[in-house]
Amino acid sequence: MWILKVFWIEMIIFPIILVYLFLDVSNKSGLQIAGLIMYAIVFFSAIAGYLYTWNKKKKD
Amino acid sequence: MDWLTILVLWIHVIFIVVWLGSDFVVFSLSWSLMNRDLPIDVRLDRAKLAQKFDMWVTKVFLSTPIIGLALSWLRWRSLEPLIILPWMNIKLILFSIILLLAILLITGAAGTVGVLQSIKDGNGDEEENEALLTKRVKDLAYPAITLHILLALIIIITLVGSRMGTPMMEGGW
Repeated sequence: MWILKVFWIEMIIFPIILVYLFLDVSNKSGLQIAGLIMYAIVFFSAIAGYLYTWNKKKKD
Repeated sequence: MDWLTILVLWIHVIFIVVWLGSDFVVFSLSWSLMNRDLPIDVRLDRAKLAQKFDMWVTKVFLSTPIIGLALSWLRWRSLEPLIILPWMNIKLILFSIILLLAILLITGAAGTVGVLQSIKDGNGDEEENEALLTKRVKDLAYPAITLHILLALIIIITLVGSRMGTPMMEGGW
């Protein structure tokens, strides 16, 4: 389904944009560091989630 | 604020309402799949309906961050306020949890219709299939409820924060 492809693309690109924006700030506040960590986690989870569903589809 | 910004802001608000509303429908339909008093054909139809509704939820959900970025650009001609404003930081952190839950729901949701079809066709042990269906619906209910709570929190933070942010950034919304 095309919408799922869009989903995975967005789940990878959106965190990259936000990680870039958070990294761009000098003297980060606690909230900005938390945001940076959270979006890094989202990025890696999206890659893991995509690989998981791709493997599942391949097995089926 | 110019008319385009106002239009995009309203689209953003309406999409959030549609997202929350449709998600409640999907949740309610999914929960009713565990009701064994209902005929299997009705349960199967509800599962298919929930799947169709979920596609709309996904479309609206996916448009939300893009519209959010566009809105920031239209309002401030920059994405920087997203990172500088503390209330926006909190909103983004909560939204990142929603993204994680969405990844969890998308990777775990598939297969409900298949289980109900197996029950209908008499494939495998019926009790085992019913137990599998119940487990799947209940396992996905926790992230779905958390997602609704987070979304409600984001709406409250936006309504309060956008007013509090007024002196900080040459006007909130």
